[in-house]
Amino acid sequence: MKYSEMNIASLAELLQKREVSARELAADALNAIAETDGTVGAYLTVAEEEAYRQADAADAMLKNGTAGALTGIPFAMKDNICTKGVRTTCASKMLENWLPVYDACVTERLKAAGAVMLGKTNMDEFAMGSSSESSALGKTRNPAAPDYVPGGSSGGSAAAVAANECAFAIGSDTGGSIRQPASFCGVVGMKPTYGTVSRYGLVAYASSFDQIGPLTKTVTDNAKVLEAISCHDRRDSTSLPEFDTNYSALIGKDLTGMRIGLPKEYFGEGIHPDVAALVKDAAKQLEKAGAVIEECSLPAVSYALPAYYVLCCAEASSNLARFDGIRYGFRAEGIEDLDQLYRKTRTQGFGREVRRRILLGNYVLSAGYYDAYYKKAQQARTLLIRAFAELFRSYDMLLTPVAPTPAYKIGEKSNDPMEMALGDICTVPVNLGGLPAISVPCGMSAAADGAKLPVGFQLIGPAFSEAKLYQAAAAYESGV
Amino acid sequence: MQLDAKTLDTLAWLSRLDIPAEEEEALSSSIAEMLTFFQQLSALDTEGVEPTAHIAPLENVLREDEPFSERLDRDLLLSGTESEDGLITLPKVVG
Repeated sequence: MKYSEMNIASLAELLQKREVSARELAADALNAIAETDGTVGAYLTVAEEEAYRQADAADAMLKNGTAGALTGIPFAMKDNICTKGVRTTCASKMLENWLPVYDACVTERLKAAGAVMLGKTNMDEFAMGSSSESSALGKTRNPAAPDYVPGGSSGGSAAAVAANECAFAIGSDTGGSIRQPASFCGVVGMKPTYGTVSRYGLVAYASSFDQIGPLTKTVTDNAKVLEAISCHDRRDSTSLPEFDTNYSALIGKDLTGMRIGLPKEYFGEGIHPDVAALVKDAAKQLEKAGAVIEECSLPAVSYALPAYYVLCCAEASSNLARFDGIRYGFRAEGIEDLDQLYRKTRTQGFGREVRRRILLGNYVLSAGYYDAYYKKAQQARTLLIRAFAELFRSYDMLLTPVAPTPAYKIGEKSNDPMEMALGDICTVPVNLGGLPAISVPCGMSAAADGAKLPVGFQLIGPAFSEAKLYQAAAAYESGV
Repeated sequence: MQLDAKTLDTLAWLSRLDIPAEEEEALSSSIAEMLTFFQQLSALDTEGVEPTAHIAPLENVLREDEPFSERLDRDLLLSGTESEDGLITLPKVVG
């Protein structure tokens, strides 16, 4: 097996035994990118020099006995997470040449762990989208079927892992942006409990939902990466003060007695028959592994999607006000006054989807509409949180599809934002509730043109239940 | 639901964006479509329900306002902007 095809656990073992050096792994991964990325388009920036520098630091750690689970492991970073000296574009013309002067907390943590960053991955512009097609800087293709989207917004990160262009990748998830591309590309993706991974250095889209998490080839790898990046950070005011980060503690433990609910609303109209069938097969596997599976009901999900879009557009319109042509990146030419500086810079610097969400956000926040839209959506959020809490009295976790359909063709939905939004129906309730949820590959669906498209299932748990989610996901994975 | 030209103009002003003429129709109908979708929420009984602005159970904590990086402020100011002699340069924006 090639190094690039190996998971973190296997690579770490080879590194520990000195059968390969971090520098050799970095060279191998950079080669894999050179060979494959012309077709896949997962990366916006390949940081070769930086990678070798970090690999040498990792080799030093391996030599002096300070190496950990991720030392020397090559990874890819989503391009909305700050990396000092390596451009961080958010896949936008607005930040095309922006060089951060500091590392995000997650970047610091991974550097300290000795992981080796290969580069920055493509995404929907400012993470607004579900197919990575709103990127202003590149097109990413699904490694399983090149005419299909990789999902989004962390499409580049998911594609890089699936195409063996890195051992793991970091993404961010505001309404499904880790889980849905993980499902579309056939990799494991975790959106952790809100507040357990610092958002310091993550370019904000919708701050009350945004959360960083790992995309990996295996469940155990995923838990190991989350253990490395999760911590309290005083620089993020929403970072939680105290919680257990031993996420791999329950992996390998028996599922006997674990109660898993199947909310029937997630299997109704609009769900592709292959997706429903594959997720229900996964339920049977989990049952064989000892879990008790029961159908349940979560009617509150019916208003999750409109509530989510009201709130995320509102937060985006506020967060993106900082891109004014003065403080960051792009500035329009031929300016005559301040108003023009703002308007021309923002109109030329932001793509169509970003501008649409800013306009929508300002609409729902404006006087006269605030109560009907924004406040109402916040109240709907409260009701959904209560409904989840009620279900978690009876169940350890819920099993659902990640997306209603497998990946669709590039261009198929890019001109229909409403249609694209409907694809987020299974993932956004999790973000509204601040809950952890994992996407795990569970089979393939055959498209009419013969393409084989990966499908994933989603496990949703109460806050801080990551270790249990990994336990169930790993039991499924080992049984397949 | 329709979005008239005046409302779109006001929104564009609030957002400090221009609406390119060739995008006006598509943008207007797309925003109207989303607003119609948002109106599903009006059927929901939210009488007496507290709004949730944020999920994290956090209280505001005050700390001493002490600088903790010598260079960061200056680096931040000058990152990604045009500068000259350590000062940010901007186009003339006041009459």
